[in-house]
Formats: sequence, structure tokens, C-alpha cells
Amino acid sequence: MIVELDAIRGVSLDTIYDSPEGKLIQTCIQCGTCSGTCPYGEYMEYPPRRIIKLLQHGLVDKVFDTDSMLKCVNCYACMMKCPREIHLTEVLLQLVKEQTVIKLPVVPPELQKALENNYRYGNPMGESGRKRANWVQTSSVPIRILSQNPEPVDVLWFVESYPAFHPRGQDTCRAIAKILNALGVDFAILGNEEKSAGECGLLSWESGLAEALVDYNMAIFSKYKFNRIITSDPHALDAFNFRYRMYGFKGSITHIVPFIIENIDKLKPMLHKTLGYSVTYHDSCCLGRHNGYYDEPRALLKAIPGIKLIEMVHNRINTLCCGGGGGGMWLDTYFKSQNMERLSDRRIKEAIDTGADVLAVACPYEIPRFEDALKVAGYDKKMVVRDIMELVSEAMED
Amino acid sequence: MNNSILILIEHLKDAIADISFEMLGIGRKIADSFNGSLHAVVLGKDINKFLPELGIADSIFVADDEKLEMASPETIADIIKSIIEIKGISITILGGTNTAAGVGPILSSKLKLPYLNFCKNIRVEGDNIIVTNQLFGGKILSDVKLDGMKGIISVNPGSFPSDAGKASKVVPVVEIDLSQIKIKNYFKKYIEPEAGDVDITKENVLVSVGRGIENADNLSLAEDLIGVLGGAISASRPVIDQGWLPLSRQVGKSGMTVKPKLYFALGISGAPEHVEGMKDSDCIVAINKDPAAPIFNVAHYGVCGDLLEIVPSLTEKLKAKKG
Ligand SMILES: Cc1cc2nc3c(=O)[nH]c(=O)nc-3n(C[C@H](O)[C@H](O)[C@H](O)COP(=O)(O)OP(=O)(O)OC[C@H]3O[C@@H](n4cnc5c(N)ncnc54)[C@H](O)[C@@H]3O)c2cc1C
Ligand code: SF4
Ligand code: SF4
Repeated sequence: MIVELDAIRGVSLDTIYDSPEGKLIQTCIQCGTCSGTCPYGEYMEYPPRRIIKLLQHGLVDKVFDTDSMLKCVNCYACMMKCPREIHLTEVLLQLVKEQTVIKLPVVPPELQKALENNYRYGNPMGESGRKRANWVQTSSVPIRILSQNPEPVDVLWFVESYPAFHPRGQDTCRAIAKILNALGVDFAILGNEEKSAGECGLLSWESGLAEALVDYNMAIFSKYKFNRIITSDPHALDAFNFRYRMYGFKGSITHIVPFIIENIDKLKPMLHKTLGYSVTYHDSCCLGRHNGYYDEPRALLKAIPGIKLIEMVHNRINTLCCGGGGGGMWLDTYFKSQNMERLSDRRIKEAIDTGADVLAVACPYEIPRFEDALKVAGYDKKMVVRDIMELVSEAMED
Repeated sequence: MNNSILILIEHLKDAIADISFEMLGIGRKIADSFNGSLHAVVLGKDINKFLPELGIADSIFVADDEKLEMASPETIADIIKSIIEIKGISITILGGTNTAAGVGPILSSKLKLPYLNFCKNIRVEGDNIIVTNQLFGGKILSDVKLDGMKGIISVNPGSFPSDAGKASKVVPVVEIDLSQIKIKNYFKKYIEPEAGDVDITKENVLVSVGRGIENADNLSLAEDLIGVLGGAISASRPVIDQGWLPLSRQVGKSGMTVKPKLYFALGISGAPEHVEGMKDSDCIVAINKDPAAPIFNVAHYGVCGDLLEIVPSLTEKLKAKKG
């Protein structure tokens, strides 16, 4: 149910009622499903339902004087469950978020630093852009970098910042490279030329920065010939599928999990090692709820010999956000100062309750978030967090 | 006024800020080498008390008005603009401070004058003034010649000796005509930040504890070490999450970024989110019982072993050495 582009292009809060999305908003029945399903709803002075009510009365400005939307982690729960199919997370809340940050007396320093780092270095962690492709040297298989070899390529792998710089993200990258290589995929990466795609939620605070990154990456794409883009970061998938399209991006973009599923018949004979783990899978908000990939990650896990899949209480459309989206990755301390439980700490309890050995994930933010949450829960010796790609790669070992 | 230099005097809470004397000192030197004149401008409420300290200038422009206390950049720029236009000032020097940060660009665009920011040095070469600017956070220094000896310079605090700008002498005072100046924003009240906990970013020595410390009682091991070494205690996030130490002691991505001379990492694994906040410390000493702990990748000195045994004996040894 991704929103039609024309419904939102150029829409602002002042003109929203003139847009098709505004017409939809007027059909809100004030059922409160959105506020009730929101993982941080109880901490928001103005959760989505109240925002709509105020908008209807021309009083939406009141929301900007509170931090309500700073607490929105872009989990898409409200939007996907709204009986009127109002594109809350995609449209209305984004517009409110930007105004919220403009009016905020102090932008939480962690978030501010991440935005600044994205602007200055092209990644939220503030690493030098020249080190972005350093991980490639640790790969067991050759990886082509387009700036060094600009011949046309079938698949452009958009690595994204967390996988490129975070040591655990790099583990996933090495696994992906190995799998793509084994499948005989003709692939390449942008290397140091790549910059953060601009995680949709984070950048809704700063549309100027978002535009700068969109312009930059689109210009880089136009330098090379490729047929499709893959990425392991559901936030990047979301950025390309949603925000970049508003700026004219026409490419084809897929997450690595559904991409591997396309090649599952070729992959299966390579999975000869029996892993013997019991695994529970966490649906990432962007991959699952927003892009509808619920079956593919499970199918891939089930293809691995010896893996027993156990579901958590909340799964698929009901998944619980890990709290990393919408800029939440850079608001942990702010949330703590508001006495809000970290959502990764909330979610990990459900994972632990399954009794599984492994928490499988398909989003680069989730590895550090859940590894940390396991430590907080004192369960880090009993359960490990693995990207699905790491599990696939392990099953390919002799 | 040919070759005249104007300095914006900054003051806060009844004291002239040091940067003002730095600017007066270098301003005097430059003015003298051209046989030019040096002028100061003081804005604010009850400012007469400052004037005797500004004897190094040849004259002082003043505007004493309640609405000029901590005036906004727009207001300051309008006033300086009027002085430059009426008195024909050639070079205006501002502090590279929060107070003056907004003034230079406004003046520059209104008067079409060059604006040189982040200045470290000003010198005279023949008939020219050469300004050295810091670019890229100080990685590059550039020498710029001021064309026609006209422009606005903002100097980094700490670039010049402030003593050179101090002299007590009575000098002529000129009242500024405010009738043409519109003051749109003005200062209401000064709010002091709450006196908080120790600022760990300012400590030379930090003894940081992680989950390896096991429980709150063992924090005393770190505190005993601090008793000998000085410094303060800080921690990884899980220790803060347990409530053993306040949030102000958290080092890392979602805490503080610290660069002490000496950083002890006791029972900290070295997760990227922690390392992000301490990797630039001058000297990192890690004690960890796991030889594969990533903290050893950033540590300058590493001890592999049980901190509960090593730390007390280290404290004893240091104590004995100190006598
Ligand atoms: C978005 C996000 C932001 C984060 N921000 C921060 C942050 O700002 N700061 C931060 O610190 N973390 C942060 N984290 C958490 C971080 O990922 C790690 O979970 C955390 O740093 C681990 O803390 P630790 O090293 O104390 O614990 P552990 O990783 O559990 O390490 C404990 C270490 O102690 C050692 N040890 C145990 N017993 C002993 C003993 N007796 N003697 C010697 N060594 C012993 C062990 O070998 C181990 O290496 C963040 C995480 C996320 C996801
Ligand atoms: S779920 Fe939809 S219809 Fe119900 S209150 Fe929220 S926005 Fe309105
Ligand atoms: S997107 Fe998620 S966090 Fe944001 S308002 Fe909706 S339910 Fe709440």
C-alpha cells in the first residue's frame, strides 16, 4: 500500500487537504487503532489519532510544541493497521516530524551529530568516506568496485553505511559477497563513492539533507550501467523505493533476501552443512510491514539444513519495532531521559521467551541493537544475533 | 579616518572578555605600523565601568541602552555598519565567538566587504595586511591579502596575547546615535545551566568500567584507583543502564565523546558504540580477561586478566610509588 507519488508530491501541512492524501485523512473515523498499536503511543502527548483531530480543527501547530513526533520510530504499525488506509507514517507524520524538529528548543545531541555526520562524511557514524570500502580487503572472494572497473554490471550492490563501517555489519557483507559469488551473480559495489542513502525516517527531520544525499547518489548511479540494485539494509530499500522515486529515481531495487530467494534453487545444493540451531526471526519494520517481505526471510531460513524456526508472539504485520528506525538509532539517550523503555530491550524478551539459540535478523541496525539488548537482559551467553546471510554463508561451509 | 581599525568589545556579566584584549593588542600593533588609529565599540547596559580598561584605543564608541545588553547579531551589525559608514573605518575586527559569530556575515553582505573567518594571525607586509586563516578545522592554513585594506576579520580566541591589549588611560568617548537603528530582538534574561555532575569530557584521567565490574559494590575498585591517579569514573552503557552511575558518565555513541590523556577501560569489551566515544584518547589502557576482546584493538596497553585482582594491586603499587 505504498502511497501513490502524485498524492504527496509538494504537499505541505498547509495544503494537505487539497491533496488526495488530505481527502483520505478526512475519512479518519477516530478509531484510535493507530495510537493503540504505536509502540511509544503511551509516551506521546499527541499520538497519530490526536494529530488528525487537531489537523481537522486547524490546531496542528500544538503538536509542534511537544516532542510527540520525536518519539515516532517510523515503524509503520499505525499506517499498516489503519482501517482507512491513511498513509500516516509516509506522509502526515513526516510533515509533522520536520516541524517538530524545527521547533524543538534543543535537538538531542546524538541525533544532531548523526545528521551532521551524514552531511559531512556521508555516513551517520562520522567515519572517513575514504574508508568506506576498506572491508572489501577482508572478503574471501573478489569484489568489483565500479570506480576502478566501470564496465556495465548486472547487479549493483548498495552496501550502505552500517554494513560498510560497523564490524558486525561487515560480517554480513563478507557473507553476502561469498553467497553472490557462489551463485555466479555479476555484481559490483560503488566503494568509496557511495554515501548514505538517507534513511527515510532519520532524514524526515531534515529534508534538505535528504535531498542532498538523493542528488548525490542519483548522480553516482547515472555514471554507471547496471540492471538492478540490491541492498541488505531495509532502510535503504525504503529510501530508494519511496523517497528517491519522488525525485525521479526509476531503477529497480530489491532487498538481498528476496533476491537470494529468486535464486533459491541454485543455492539449495550449496547448503550442505547442517546447522542444528533453533532460530527465531525478527521482522524488520521496513522489510516486513512496509515492503511486505514476510515469507521470503522464513523461506530462506527453512532452506538451511537443520534450522528449526520458532515464531515470537508478535510476528509479521504485528512485529515489534527494535526502536532503531525514524532516527531512533540516535535517540536512545533521549528516550532514556524520558523514562521510555528501549524497544530493543522490550523485543528481546519475546525472543528469549522462544528459547531459541539464534535471533535471526535482516537489517544491519538490529545486530548491534539486539546484541546490546541481550547483554542488558543478561542473556548474551545463551542467545546470539545473526544476520540471515551469515547463517546462509555458514551453511555453505564444508 | 584613514587606516583605522575598529574592535567590537565583548563583555559578559560585568567583565570584559579576554578576546577583547587580544583584539585590542593586535589591533594596536597593526594600526601603529600604518600610523593609523584604533577604535573600540562597546554596546550594552551600564557599560561606563568598562571604559577605563580600554585605554589602548584612541577613541571609544559607546551605546548605553537596556535593549543592547547581549544584542542580537542583526542589531550589532546595524550599529557597526553605521560607524563604518560615518567614520570611514577600514578594518573591523570581531571575536570568533558565539557572541559575534553572526555579525561578520551580515556586515560583509550589507557593506560588500570581504569577511575573513577563523583568523589565527594578522601581519603587515609592506603596504599590505596579510591574514592567516584556519581552514578545515585547522588542517590547512591560508594567507589572504586584504585588498584595498578594507574588510572584516574574525579572530579565533587564544590567537594573540591579551596583555598586549591592556592599558588604563582616559580616551575620548563618542556616543553612537541610535535613532536610525531598529532593535527587533532583545535580550530578556540570562539562564545559568544547572550545576550538573562532573563533566567527563574535561577530565585528564578517566577510569571507565564495563560489565566486567560485575556489581555496583565493585565500583569502589575504580574509585580507589582514581584516589591515587586523580580523574573521574565513567562507564559503558550497560553499567549506566543498571543505574550504578548517572547518564552523565556514559562514554560512547549515545553518551559523551571523551579524549582524556589517560583512559582506563576496565571490563569493557570495546563494542563499536563504546569505542566511538573514546578512541581518540591519548593513552588507552585496557584490562580484560578475554584476549579476543576488541578493546585490545584500540588500546595502547593491554592487560589480559581478572580486573578484580589486577586493579587493587595496581592501586597499591601506584600508592607505594607515590609514597
Ligand atoms: C544504538 C546504540 C547505541 C549505543 N551507545 C553506547 C554508548 O554510548 N556507550 C556504550 O558503552 N555502549 C553503547 N551501546 C552498547 C554497546 O553496543 C555494547 O553493548 C556495550 O558497550 C557493552 O558494554 P560492556 O563492554 O561493558 O559489556 P560487554 O560487551 O558485556 O563486555 C564486558 C567485558 O568485560 C570482560 N570481563 C568480564 N569479567 C571480567 C573480569 N573479571 N576482569 C576483566 N574483564 C572482565 C569481558 O571479557 C567482556 O569483554 C550502544 C548500542 C546501541 C545499539
Ligand atoms: S487508525 Fe486510521 S482511522 Fe483510526 S484513528 Fe488512526 S488514522 Fe484515524
Ligand atoms: S510509525 Fe510507529 S512509532 Fe510512528 S506513530 Fe506510527 S506506530 Fe507510532
